Amino acid sequence: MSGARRSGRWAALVACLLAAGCELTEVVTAPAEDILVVEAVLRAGEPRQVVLLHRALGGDLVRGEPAARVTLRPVGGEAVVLAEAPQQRCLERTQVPDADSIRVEATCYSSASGQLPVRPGETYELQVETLDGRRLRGRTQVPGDFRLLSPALDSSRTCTLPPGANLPVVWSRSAGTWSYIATLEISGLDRALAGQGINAPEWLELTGLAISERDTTILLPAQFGIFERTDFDQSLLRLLQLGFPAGAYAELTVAAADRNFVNSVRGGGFNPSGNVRVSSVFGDGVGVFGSLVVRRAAIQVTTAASSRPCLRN
Amino acid sequence: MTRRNRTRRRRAPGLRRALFLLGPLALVLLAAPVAAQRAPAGTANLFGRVTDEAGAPLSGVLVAVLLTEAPTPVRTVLTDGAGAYQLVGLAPRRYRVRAGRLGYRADEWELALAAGERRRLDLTLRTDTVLVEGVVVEGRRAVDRERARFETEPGITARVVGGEQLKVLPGLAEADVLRAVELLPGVVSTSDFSSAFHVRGGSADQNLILLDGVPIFNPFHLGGLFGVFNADAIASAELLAGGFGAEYGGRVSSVLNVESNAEAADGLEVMGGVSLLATRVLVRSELPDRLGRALGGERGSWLVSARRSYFDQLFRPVFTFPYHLTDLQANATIETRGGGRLRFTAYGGSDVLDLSDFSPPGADAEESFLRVRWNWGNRVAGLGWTQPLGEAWTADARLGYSGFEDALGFTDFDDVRFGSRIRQLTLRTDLRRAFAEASTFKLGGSLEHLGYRNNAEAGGTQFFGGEGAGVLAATYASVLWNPDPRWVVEPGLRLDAWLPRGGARVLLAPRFAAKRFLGEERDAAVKLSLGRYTQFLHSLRDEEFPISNDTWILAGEDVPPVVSDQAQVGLDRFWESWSLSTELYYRTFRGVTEFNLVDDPNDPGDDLLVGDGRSYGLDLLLRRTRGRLTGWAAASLLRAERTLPDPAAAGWEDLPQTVTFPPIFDRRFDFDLIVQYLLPRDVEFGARWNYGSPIPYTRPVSQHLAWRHNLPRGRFEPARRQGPGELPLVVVLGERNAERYPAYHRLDLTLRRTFRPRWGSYTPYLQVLNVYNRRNVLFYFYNYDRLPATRSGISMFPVLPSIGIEATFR
Repeated sequence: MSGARRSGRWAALVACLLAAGCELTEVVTAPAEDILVVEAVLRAGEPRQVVLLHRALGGDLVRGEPAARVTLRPVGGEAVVLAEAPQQRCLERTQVPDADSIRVEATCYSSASGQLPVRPGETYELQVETLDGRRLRGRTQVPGDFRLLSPALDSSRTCTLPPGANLPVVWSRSAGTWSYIATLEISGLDRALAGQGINAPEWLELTGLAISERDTTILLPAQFGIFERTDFDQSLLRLLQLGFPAGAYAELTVAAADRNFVNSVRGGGFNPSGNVRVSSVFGDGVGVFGSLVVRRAAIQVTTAASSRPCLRN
Repeated sequence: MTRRNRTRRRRAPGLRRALFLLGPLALVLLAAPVAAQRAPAGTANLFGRVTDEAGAPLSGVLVAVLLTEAPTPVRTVLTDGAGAYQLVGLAPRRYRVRAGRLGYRADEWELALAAGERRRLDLTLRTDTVLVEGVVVEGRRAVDRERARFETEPGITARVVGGEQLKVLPGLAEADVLRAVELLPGVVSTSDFSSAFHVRGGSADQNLILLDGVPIFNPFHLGGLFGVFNADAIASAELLAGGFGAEYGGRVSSVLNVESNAEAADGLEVMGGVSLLATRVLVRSELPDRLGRALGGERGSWLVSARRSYFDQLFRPVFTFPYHLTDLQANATIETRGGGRLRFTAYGGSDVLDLSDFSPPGADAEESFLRVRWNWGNRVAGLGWTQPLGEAWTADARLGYSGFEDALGFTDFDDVRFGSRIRQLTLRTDLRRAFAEASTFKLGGSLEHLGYRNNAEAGGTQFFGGEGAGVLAATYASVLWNPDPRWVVEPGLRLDAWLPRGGARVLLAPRFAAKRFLGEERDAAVKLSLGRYTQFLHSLRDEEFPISNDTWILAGEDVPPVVSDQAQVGLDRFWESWSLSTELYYRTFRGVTEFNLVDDPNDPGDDLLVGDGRSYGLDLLLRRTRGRLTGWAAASLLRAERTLPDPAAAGWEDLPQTVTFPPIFDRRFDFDLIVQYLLPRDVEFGARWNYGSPIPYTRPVSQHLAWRHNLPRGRFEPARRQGPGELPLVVVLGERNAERYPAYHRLDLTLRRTFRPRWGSYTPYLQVLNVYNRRNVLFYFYNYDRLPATRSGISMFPVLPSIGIEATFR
């Protein structure tokens, strides 16, 4: 994972440019290639699998790729042809933050419910053929199954944590995974910290990371937020090193990620024009074809006694 | 030993084989002082020391033996660090002996040698008062050293820049040894922002940079913006760009030997200087006699220099400037009673970027910033002893320590630790024996212990890390043979036994060099050298990023050593005031590495991509060495390429598994013109013009919206913005390094005037970098989020004037 390394590099670059660099007055037009892009992340246990196709930016337009033939096939199994589906099935939202002018026309393809069961440990292949004859292919091996050991949850999926405490999150190994990526969606901080002089948003999301198959622990919330440490009020992040305030609520997601997913999020080498993503599809385009096994939990921070404590002796 | 026994030994397991091979080394290191050698039957030996009028030994003096009736020397030799020389196996007859060095008047002596005679002839040279002080003398010294190497060594390519020459070369705010190296042929720099250099198609980590013989790992401040050496304390910088003899090892591309100024001052001398970068002070003097004697010597000198940037102190009343650098360098030299020389060198430097209490000027007082503290720096110490042993042997022993450490931490988050460290301890001995039949035997060995540790962890997980250690035992032997006054031939063999934890690797590196002098005056020669070179450590630094520190790792189980085979042919010609050198070379590199950005976290052995490289080219140097107008023109033609695995294609057998590309330093043509002119009234003028043909870069061919997989919900969403006004975009790159930036060119000027009041001298100076404000491209930015798409960019240094002052108190 080289995100933090890149942050350091960017800081150094900015410093040097501030010191002596100059913007070139020359601005010329640049020929752009119209590139097909695939976004595909298989999720074990989900009833539907989705693939998003779009083209490289042309001005403020993200063109889609309708009428393509998109197939997913477990190695040694039958190919499943995905059908075009409403955008909402692929997209949580389409609006780019603070950039209303960007129009997103990406095309969503989806399997029917139960048509393609994705199982941990199995390998799947993706093929895309577009109307204009472009072909792309990819392969992913879904990480092995794993389960959360701490907090050990019953069917309610929620446990309680006292304020000012860190919770060691522990899970079993997922065979073949490259990294575990965790997110923590925290709400209620603004109310919980009202009047304390800390600028807390109503909702925030922090990322945690455990690199390699054998790293199966993370301390919650202290070890979350490694990529967000410049995004929020430092006093809030310092406070979260010690635990949550009373009244906060957190949704935890831990995902075992395969090689392709990890490579897509950690990025490639340095390029001054922006982030580079390592493609895991080959042929007439770029993109990611990764896979995840996901486990979830919820934490209610309260001083009240509870029958479902996250921390158990 | 029977053939059978020899075979069995060759098949010994790695460690045993290494120990076997280390046997000769142990013998070398433990060798007792060697008794005086008898002259071979029917011949005579000539030896002695060269000193100045005060009795101080003079190193680097060219001593030539000539037949009384002929202008061409039959033998030449260079005095060593103790001023000693020896010539063995001379035919019994009458000779003229000529000795000279710049700054001293050349002199001649006549003598007759009888068969079997061992004659001591100590020579004293007088200061040459005719030559003007300053750049002319220093420049000539540098050239003299080149000339001496030309006379005595067949293969090596040595380029020397003298300490005073350095000051007239325009630098960033102040003179910089490492920037001066960029002006030599075969050397490519890729950015104004980095002093890192590339020699003849080698990576920057393939240059061995020595301070008085001790390696220094990361001799840069601010990630490469400035070199660490204080030019006041430097006598010369010698770049060996190829054709190294068997005594050279450790790196495959070049050796930059930076030498401290060891010449004794006449009484106490204090030098100081202020530039826009830093303030510096240097104090040097003779060693008190009593102390010299207590240390077993006769006389000696010492030098201490310190440098510190001052912006943090200057701006303190207004705001907190978060960065400062410091350098401390010390050197002491003692001439010992037996005609030897002891030399102690130390350097300590540090960079501190302290953002633990920093807010940018104008920032909102309530806004809080990430608090960071980042320290890095070098520590170097070395002790050297040069000693004549009898008439025919000279021994040189060195003990050195070098370490580099880099540590980054977040003040508020103690789970973040970024750091790297490398340390090296070296013990080295070189012996040299003059033999009969016009030959010199060189033998030596070294033991180096290297260790490194790298770590990058945050949020309870380690992003990157590793540690390792190993011992490099090396031994070498070579014979410098003059079969005829027109020929010098030097075959040699080097053996490197690399013993990392849990393994052993033994590599044999043969070397061969031959030179044939042309003409009676021995002022022209053609030369050839062939050799294999090895290197057992790598830097993980991304060379495409202009500012960053080296992160070192050692060769081991998963990382091979670099092995480079090199061939070069050349022609050198010296005239009275000019010299010309041209060389054609070809190099291959096996085991070049690059950080694997898609390494498997479950596999500790795939952190690096390992591949091959090659380069070839032509270097040309035309130098004017005498008179008020001096300087040089250097032209370099280069073609370099690297072939590395493409890890993204792993598992796809029908896709190419490797990618071949020109590295960023593949500058096909590079030209430097250096002019130094001594005007009346102690005014010195320096100018440098550089032209560099385009260097490669990887062009983004398009950009697409960056999507983020929302883990809890299993759907995609546009990624977060990178910063204000920046869309979340992903760059799609074209073929690696297939495009090139525009050509680079820049003119720099320096003007210095020295005033000489009774108490010493002072020199105000003005420097202007990039006089005509050429916008050399550092980066291009491609923006495909607009129609039509555009390309903008950032330039390197704009026109950059700076002033400073230096003063010397005597």
